[in-house]
Amino acid sequence: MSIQDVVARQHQQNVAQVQRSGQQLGMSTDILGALDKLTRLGANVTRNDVMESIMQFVEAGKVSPKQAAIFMGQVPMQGPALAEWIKAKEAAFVQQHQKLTQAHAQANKNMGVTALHSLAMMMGAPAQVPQDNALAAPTPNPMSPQNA
Amino acid sequence: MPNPFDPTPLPGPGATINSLAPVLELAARQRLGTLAQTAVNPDTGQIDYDKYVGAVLSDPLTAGFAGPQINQLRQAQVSQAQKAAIDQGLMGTGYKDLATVLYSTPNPYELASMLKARVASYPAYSQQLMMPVIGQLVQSMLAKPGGGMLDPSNPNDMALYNERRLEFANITAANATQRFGAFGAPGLVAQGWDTASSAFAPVPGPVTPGGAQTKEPAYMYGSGGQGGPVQTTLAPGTEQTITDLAKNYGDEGKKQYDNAVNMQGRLFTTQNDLDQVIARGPSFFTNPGTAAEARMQLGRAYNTFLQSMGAPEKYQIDPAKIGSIEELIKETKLNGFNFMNSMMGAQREAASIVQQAINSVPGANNSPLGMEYLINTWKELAQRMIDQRRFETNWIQDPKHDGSLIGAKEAFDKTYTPEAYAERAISNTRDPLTGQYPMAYKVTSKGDLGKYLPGTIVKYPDGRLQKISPQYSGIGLGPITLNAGNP
Repeated sequence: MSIQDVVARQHQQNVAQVQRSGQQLGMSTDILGALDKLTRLGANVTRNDVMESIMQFVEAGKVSPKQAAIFMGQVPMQGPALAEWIKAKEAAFVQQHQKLTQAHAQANKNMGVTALHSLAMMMGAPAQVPQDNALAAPTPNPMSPQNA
Repeated sequence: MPNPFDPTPLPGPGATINSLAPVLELAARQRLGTLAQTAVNPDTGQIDYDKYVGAVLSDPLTAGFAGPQINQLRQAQVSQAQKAAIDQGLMGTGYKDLATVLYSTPNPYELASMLKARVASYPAYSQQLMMPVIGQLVQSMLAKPGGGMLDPSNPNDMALYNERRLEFANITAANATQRFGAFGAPGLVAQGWDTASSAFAPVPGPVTPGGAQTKEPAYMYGSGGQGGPVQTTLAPGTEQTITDLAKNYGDEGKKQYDNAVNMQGRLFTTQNDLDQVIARGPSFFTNPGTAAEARMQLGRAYNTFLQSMGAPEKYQIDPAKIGSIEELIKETKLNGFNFMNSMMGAQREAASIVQQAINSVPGANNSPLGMEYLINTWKELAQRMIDQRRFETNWIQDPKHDGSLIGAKEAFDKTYTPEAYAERAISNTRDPLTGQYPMAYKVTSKGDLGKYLPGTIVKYPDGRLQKISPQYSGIGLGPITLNAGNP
């Protein structure tokens, strides 16, 4: 495996990692926004509010109906208990969001570094244009009398 | 008995082996194929040559044919190594080009166009491969940590961009250096590189509204849209200086800044230990000063002796006092090694130098007042390093300086003199025994305040002591906000 292959493979992995962590971060931002809205309702929050919030995620295709059902199964019935539960959820998500933010920043940096190496390689040694006729050229037959 | 002179003898052993050779060779060839398959490295998909050669030599079927086989393998290895070396050299050119773009593009809006312009001369097929990677590099440099893109009108975002830009520029410069020796140094010329033209090779000039390209090739950043020829290259000496200073800012400068911050933390601990010793009251065995360690050891031996005799505890020297001075002595030694490491690097030093370093930092062998003075001096030394870093960070972000640190050190030294920091250290020296500031500077008018750093303690004619606030200090009104000195 050449240096080019190693660098290119590493860069592709890093690009994929950025895409993945970016999606997770976007999802986390949306969830935090929804939790923030619910927290603002204070003790007046109801299970219906929570249900409406989560249905928006289901409609957007970000959460499966099964995941939504499991989540709703954990939601307390009572108003004050529900408000406390949402607060606790929000606190937990804030922590997770911070971790995701750091992971995304690191992934971005890794992508930048491998992009530098990839570019340096390509700038130093421009790629050869693939020759169409090279593929069309007949493969020599080792059994032919000429090659014997 | 066979006739030895018979012209048609029966075939001897040598001839038998010779007649079998093609059969053995065929079997060996088949065996070689199997061995090659088992020697493939699953991570790379390539044959592990060392493993393969070992297997060929140890297999009875193939050992006899190993010579030419190994020779072929070695040739393949050599040609692969040569190819890798060529690749490494070619990559160096790319690193050099990238470092040039990164060092000279303080405007994030221009980064993508600068990189694109750099690769414009490559074949179209190469450009097709490069463009997505350029996009990914730009995305990496302009992405906000929490999502979204950096805002060039936001100073904090700009600071982050410049931090990333310099870090990436240093990475590329280091890679170029690894392949070519000093980046941009005369060594490149010796290897056939024209440093000035290859590092700052002109790119196609800007296109006028009419579509015609200007005759003079322009380096995109800094052309300013003004008519007439524009500067397309920097003098090799200037370019070298910019590169060296930027590298120093990213490597040595950052290390020095980190060391200075750590040093301040350790001095805080030392100061605290001294306060603890003083607070526990005077004692011959535990007072800081000459032969502090020997006196402490004497006190500890005395206590041990009393304990072994079963004497009541009230006759012992307060163990807490001994503990405090012991802590201070330990801290002294630790500081000596740490400071030496901060200032001189982690080389092996002669014992005498280590001892000198330990003696130069505040420690238990100093009188309490002397120790206060030394602590302040070291704190100010660290503070000046921190201020210098802040100054340089602001300097490099100032559009007037085009991302170069040339002149920053001189400007800093001119305004923020070492004397001003030393004066602040002296004036802040508090006698731990009396709580007074015996070395505060006497002033007679408000005008006198202007020559001191904020935080310097002065004494008015009526005997009042005052810490100079930033608005009365004549220093610290430049591009950095100085802290108000040690509390």
